[in-house]
Amino acid sequence: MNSIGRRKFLLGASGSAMALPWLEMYAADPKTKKDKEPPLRFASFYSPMGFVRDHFFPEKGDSDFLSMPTLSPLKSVGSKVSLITGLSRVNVRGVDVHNQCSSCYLSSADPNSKLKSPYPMDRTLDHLIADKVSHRTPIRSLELNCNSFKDLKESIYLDNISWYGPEHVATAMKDPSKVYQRLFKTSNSNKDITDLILEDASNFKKNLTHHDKDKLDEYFDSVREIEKQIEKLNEYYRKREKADILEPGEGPMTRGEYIKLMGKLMVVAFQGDLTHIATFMLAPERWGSPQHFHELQFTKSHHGLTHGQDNEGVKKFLVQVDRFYVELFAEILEQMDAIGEGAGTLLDHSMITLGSGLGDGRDHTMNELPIIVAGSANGRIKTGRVLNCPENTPLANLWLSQAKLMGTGMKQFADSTGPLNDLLV
Amino acid sequence: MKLSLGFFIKLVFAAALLGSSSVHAEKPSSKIRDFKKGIQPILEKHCYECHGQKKTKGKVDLTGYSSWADLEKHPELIEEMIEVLDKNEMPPEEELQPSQDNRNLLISELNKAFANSLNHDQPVIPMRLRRMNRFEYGNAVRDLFKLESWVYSINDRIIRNHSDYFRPESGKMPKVVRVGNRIMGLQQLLEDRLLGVMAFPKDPPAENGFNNRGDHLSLSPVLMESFLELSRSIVHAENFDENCGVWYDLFDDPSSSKPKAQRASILVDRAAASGSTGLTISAWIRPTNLSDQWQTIVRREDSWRRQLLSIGRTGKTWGLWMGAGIAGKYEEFGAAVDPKILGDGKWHHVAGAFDGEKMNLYLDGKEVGSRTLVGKLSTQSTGPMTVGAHGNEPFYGDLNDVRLYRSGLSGLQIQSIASGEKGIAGDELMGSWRLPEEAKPKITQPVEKIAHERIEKFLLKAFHSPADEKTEKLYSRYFDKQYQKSGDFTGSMKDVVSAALASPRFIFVHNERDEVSPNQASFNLATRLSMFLWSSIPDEELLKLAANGELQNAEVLSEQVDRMLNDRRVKNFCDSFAPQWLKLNNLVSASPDFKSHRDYYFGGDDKISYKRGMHMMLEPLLNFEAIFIENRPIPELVDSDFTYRSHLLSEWYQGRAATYSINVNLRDIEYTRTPVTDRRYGGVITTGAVMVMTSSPLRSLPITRGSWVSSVIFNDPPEPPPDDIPDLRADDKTLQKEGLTVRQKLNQHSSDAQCASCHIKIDPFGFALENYDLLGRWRDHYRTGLKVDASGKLFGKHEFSDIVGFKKAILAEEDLFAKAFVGHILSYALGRELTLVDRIAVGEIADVSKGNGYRMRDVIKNIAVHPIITQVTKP
Repeated sequence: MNSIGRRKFLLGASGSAMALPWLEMYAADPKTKKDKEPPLRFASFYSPMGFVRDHFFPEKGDSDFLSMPTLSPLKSVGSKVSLITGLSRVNVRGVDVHNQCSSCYLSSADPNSKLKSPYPMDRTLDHLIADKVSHRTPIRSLELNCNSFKDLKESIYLDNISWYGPEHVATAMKDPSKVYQRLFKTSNSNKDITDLILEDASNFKKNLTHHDKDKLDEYFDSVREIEKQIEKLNEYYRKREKADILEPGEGPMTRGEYIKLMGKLMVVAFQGDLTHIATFMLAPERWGSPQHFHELQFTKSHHGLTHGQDNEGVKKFLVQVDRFYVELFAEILEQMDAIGEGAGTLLDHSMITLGSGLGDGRDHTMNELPIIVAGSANGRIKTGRVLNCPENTPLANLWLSQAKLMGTGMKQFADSTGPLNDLLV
Repeated sequence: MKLSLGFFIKLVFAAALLGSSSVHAEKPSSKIRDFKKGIQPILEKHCYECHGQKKTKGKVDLTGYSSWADLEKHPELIEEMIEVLDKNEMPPEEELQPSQDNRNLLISELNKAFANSLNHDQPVIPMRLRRMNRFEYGNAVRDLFKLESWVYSINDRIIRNHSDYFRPESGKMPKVVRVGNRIMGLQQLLEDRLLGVMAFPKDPPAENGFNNRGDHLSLSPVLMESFLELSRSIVHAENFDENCGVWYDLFDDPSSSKPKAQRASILVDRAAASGSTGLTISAWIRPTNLSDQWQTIVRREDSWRRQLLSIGRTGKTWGLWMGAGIAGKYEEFGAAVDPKILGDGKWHHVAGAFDGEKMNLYLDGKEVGSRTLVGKLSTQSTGPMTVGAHGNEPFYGDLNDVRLYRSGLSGLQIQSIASGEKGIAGDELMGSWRLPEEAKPKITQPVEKIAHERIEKFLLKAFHSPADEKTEKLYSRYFDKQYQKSGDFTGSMKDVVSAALASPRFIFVHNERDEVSPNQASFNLATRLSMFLWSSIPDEELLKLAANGELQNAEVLSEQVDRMLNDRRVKNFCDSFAPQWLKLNNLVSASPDFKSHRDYYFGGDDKISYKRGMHMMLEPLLNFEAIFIENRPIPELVDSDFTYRSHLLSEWYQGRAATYSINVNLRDIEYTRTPVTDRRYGGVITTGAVMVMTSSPLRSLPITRGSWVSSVIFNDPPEPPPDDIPDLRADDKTLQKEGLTVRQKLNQHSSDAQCASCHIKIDPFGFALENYDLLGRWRDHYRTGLKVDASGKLFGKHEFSDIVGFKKAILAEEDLFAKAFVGHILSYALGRELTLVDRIAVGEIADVSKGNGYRMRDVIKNIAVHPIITQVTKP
């Protein structure tokens, strides 16, 4: 496989990454003469441990959120971004806070109901949407995670926001070349082997107890999903040229380069309609280890900083980390906005959220969560403003709205009390 | 062991789902114990005021229970009561204390009540279906094919063993071991493995648990893709064939007459080698592919002590190469040889000889090169010499009659060997290898029949249960189909094996329902034992004993567990359990401030350079292994009279630590068993590894250390901290200004009643370790000049003034420590979080092990043969 340095990949893939038959796909319907509506893309970005509030939220009544120190990097796409305030999650007492921040961020489980796992976990928003829309694309969804810690010491709850169900994690990809291969590598399905192992698995299932039988379903689902994906990808590339992108090479990357590269891959996947659903962890929740922020030129534990933010000296570092992640997020949005699709841009045809499961990392509160929504979802979402929700509005209300916009027809999501109607145009 | 209500609910929930075999709790005592006359008066006097009458602290109201029957409805409460009484946490220090007799009475009565409260058939689920983690998968594949090499090199296994030191059967850990650190060392992941085979990502450990937890090991399309890819890349790896120890029983084409050259090795006769004065390597070669790449004739990899004979190009010289460790350094010498001569399709004799003064190389009996090299040959290496293979330097073509001599033979002697003369220098021979010459017997059965028989045997081992007829046919038919298509026996067999590797029966660790086959319960037990002790699939012997149902016989089982504990595969247990138990992964990212703690780093910056932690990490692991191999009492994990240290580490503890910028041995480090007379050291707790990983870049973290001791040593991880914790502000500057020690500062913080209840438990553990700075070195004073106060009280009963006293206090509570340790291992063995009912098994195992002073191997054996693992109920 051809391989060049990652830096080069980043540069080389800018702009026209893919030979896309865009016009052909979205041009006006010959019968109705109406433009087809571009497919809507959904991505949910997660930043751990909240953001320093007084650098993130403007004063009450102040709508100039783009002047806030942490959010100012979003200015370049400011008219396509909204800040939502007042959203909250319910902290289930007695279990570790950070674990539920991440693992339950997108969860469809009602935290007040009887739980199926230690935390209020259930199939997450991205998968509920994918269930509905994945037939449109060769790849069901992308789960990306920019965890670059070398010590794998923390639990899966802190490292995953995307779950198929309680205790059933949707394994995220952390290695950019793995993501690359998933997007661009086609292979021949080996029907012989698949049929054989599925038949074997069915025989095997009879030998198991009830509980184990359920667990074995993970195997059937996985094998079938892979088969489907191979078929769809092959079909996809029969009709299109392969993108002119080389596989990312080995070699050390800075924090920023790593996140940019993963972001680029996600954008390319959206642009090429390889998938319409993605989750993206900028960093894992809690993780007590110090981390090298190359671009910021310091090595600090992000988690440690959040607890020390009463100290001005510590806070100085923390707001840099906050801004660093928002800058990277903004860059990804800019890329999407530079990709024209008919009358609009890729960003216009998307709904991208950046948020955190903690309102305040210092005292672990889950109210007043920092939430940014970008992209107008094909003109349905009103952007470029602050949307103030009443205090303690369930975050699930936003997820319900997004699920609806994505066409799921859902009426209830976790502890939602109704969709955020004010979100819409 | 802390078991919250949540876990109990989970257990009951599971119980409703499952009707598997069960372990019976103790029968209720026939005597009716009198609650009102027995314990109620004590509770009334010491507990009711805060728990019911005036307050209901901790939401516990004890006044509502007026009979044992009432109380026994709440096993989780009883468990909690036992725990707080046992550890003197209740009643609080400042309150009126019950007499020791009354305390003991309460504990023993509550223990009975606890057993009673669980006195209904509690199903114990010994093993849940889960996929293998990557550590287990690598082991299983290696054992399944009896591979010479690793499947892939992963840092889950931290210690790289350079001197073959791990010999459990010997009952003795060598005084000196040579090891590397795969997770923090230099190039320690470059080792003999299947080429092009990639491991899937490492599985994270469960919170306060292990990475073999069933509830965490689920399967997703991304992972399944890895498993499918592995199933292909393993059998098609370029060096799979020569590495595969079961080649002839599985892949070899029975109809072809020529045996395939497979990897061979020469195990040197130690007795003969002990009198070495030099080395001669002699071999017959017939190469078929003469590229510039090196091709191995024979090689033993052992850092600078490696020995080899190879052909290929280095620099301008294409030729014959010899290498050996001489006078503490690796020396290599090559003589130019015309590749056209070697490639003429005929057999050629090559030899290299070193006699302490010269290294000579020979082709077909004639000297082709000579270099003066004076020095003593290193003869410490004990591993086998590999013939015809080394990493990606395999030999293409044929090799035969490879011999190793313990001295440098003369040119005349070499000439005689090359001319085919027999018996030359026979006394000097240390080992040899010849190509098996026997022509294979003509087959009398159809090839397909042979294939089907092989498949049946293979499936039994791969699936660790007999495959039913349907399953067997599935794979046999697949062979027939592939074979008809290609006529390639080996290729078709590889296809079948590849499919089996992708089957859930291989990927998933599983137990099948007892009714599935006549001795299924035995097969299930074999799987549980091997996953526990070997992190791998059962071997032939276990499967044989399972097949005739003997494994469940107590005597046979006991013998087998002993055998397993003597088998070197038990290294997998040490490699997997020990670092996870000690949470050693935290050391990887520990980053003492580079500017103020420069001497922690070997190189010029804190990002890429190597750290002293690389040495530190191995000390507690080697101590653990020594205690395991030598079956020493587990209290030695707390306090031992020996420890394994590298030279660098010994100096470090003594405060002598030059900044090494270069020439630090990062690969192959010698650790020596060092007697410990100073009780501040020894055991695992006070090692540099633990101290560094429980510190921040600028200071030690007493609470983190306390939490580590509570979780690791007492298996009692603190509750998650409350939501609103103020920053301690204990940086040097602030402390200096305020004139406080961290301890005084923390005491201010902990005086808040809400914080106090937790801190009172963990702080004493942490402060007991305050005399070790953030780099693990002893200090009497802080940098601020204030004196370190490491005094405290363990469980409110054992006062101590320093770490030595603290260790003594833990030893005084060795029963608690033992139970905690048993709990850790049992959770690992079962691959799940322990539940309330498991408390009974933990207690039983600890009790049985106590008589023998809690020796580690015995503890592990007692777990392996306990009904919770065996599921054999006593008649």
